[in-house]
Amino acid sequence: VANPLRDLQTERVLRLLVDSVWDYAIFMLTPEGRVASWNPGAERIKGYAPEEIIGRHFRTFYPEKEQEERKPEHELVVAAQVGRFEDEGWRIRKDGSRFWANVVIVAVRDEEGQLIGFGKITRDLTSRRNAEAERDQSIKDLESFNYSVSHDLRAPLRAIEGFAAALGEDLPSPLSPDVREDLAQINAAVKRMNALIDHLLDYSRVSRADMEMVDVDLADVIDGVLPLGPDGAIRTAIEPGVRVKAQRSALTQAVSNLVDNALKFHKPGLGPAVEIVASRNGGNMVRIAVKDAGIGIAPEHHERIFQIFQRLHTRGAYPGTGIGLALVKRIAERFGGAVGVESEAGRGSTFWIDVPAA
Amino acid sequence: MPPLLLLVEDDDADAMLAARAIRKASLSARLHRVKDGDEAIAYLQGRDPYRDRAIHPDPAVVLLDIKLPRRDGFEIIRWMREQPAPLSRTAIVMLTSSGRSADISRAYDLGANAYLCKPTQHRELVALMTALGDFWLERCALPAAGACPAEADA
Repeated sequence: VANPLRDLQTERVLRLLVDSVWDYAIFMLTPEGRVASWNPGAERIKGYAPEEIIGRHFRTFYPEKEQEERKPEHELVVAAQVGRFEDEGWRIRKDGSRFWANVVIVAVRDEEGQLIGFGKITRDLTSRRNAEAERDQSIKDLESFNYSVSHDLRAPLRAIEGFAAALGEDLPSPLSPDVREDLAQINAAVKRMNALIDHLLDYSRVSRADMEMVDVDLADVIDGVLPLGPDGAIRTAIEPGVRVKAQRSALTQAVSNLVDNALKFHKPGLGPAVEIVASRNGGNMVRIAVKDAGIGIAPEHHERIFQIFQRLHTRGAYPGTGIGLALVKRIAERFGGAVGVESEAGRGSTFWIDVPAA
Repeated sequence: MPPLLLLVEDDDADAMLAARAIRKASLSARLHRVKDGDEAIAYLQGRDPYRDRAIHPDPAVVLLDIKLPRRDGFEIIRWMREQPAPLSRTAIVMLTSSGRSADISRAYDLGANAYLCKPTQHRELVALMTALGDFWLERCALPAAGACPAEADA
């Protein structure tokens, strides 16, 4: 009677398995470290045909310096002692080129516990390593770019603001209303440019920098943004003890941007009235909703407002840089959450962000 | 002779505005500005054209930017702290636009005595210079004086 399980457990089939593996080098070493078998993965990764390598010591795969330090021999000693050795490092192909290898060496023993050799499995991780190196480099580039932006773009702004102030002091007083207005316009433009630089830096930081998510007490974060509003303008309803997985400073920024907007876009003639509601959202998300009774947003604009530099109002009506909501969206996405809005023109808005619960 | 503030600042506009702020804050100090790290070290060593210590005395406080041509602010702190007295202990106050925590830590680690961020508004710069004069020039016992400043009569 055919027994498919047993049929697939023969030595022949196991050898066929090893011989069909293309992605990993899988081969045996003698107890002294000479290559005893060779599979297609080994040939592909290291470049040797079986007849070129079988019988040679595996130190030949190592860079010269590591050969001199007797690193390959040391690895066998460790594998024999503890059963297993794992390492990542540069290895050398037949043509002399380097590849970044993940190497596992296991001691193979017979039924009596006698060491009969070592099994060696090698993966070529060069492209992954290169991608990581590129990513690290681009983060470094971004950091130095951000630093230059904040340093070099602000210097002329300080000069413009400073010399405008100097002009106001040095001109014969009293200043004419026109001069006063001109100076005020310069100052307003400087303030706007400073805000733009701040917000752009924030945006690029949350877009690219590493973020370490920790367990954050949400009530704490919301308490931290409350001083934004005048007394009594903000009410809160936060589920007691609710905690989220987030980066604290970015979460604070996201919530404070939403509260900022809710306070800003109130109806002319009416003061702001804002409510922050936070609770577990059924599954494993926490929803933080910021409700206002302000001017509201027509549904056709709901998507656009989360894009960077998109604004619905003139700067004169409602000042802003057009980055705030884009930043909130980016932060929520970095947390593995989402943002959204429910609103109609003239009927207030509710902006929410979902953040993973801790 | 009033104490000397040595301002190490490469940006002409920032230097002019700092001078203006110091004037407006009515500090009882003279200001000398150098443009880069090499000039700062030439001044501090009393090399030409700064040989005459009657005109170019040892500074009471060095106001130091970080990003400078030739030698940056960190190199200057390190160099000063390797020199014999008085430079080894001359007060170094960073005045820079970098608010990076790595820069702040590094400046203190190397031996800076204070770290000030350049304000974006001139009004704030005047306030900062007023505070700086009050603390470092009026109330602080600087190493060169070797004594506590006399208390103002109540």
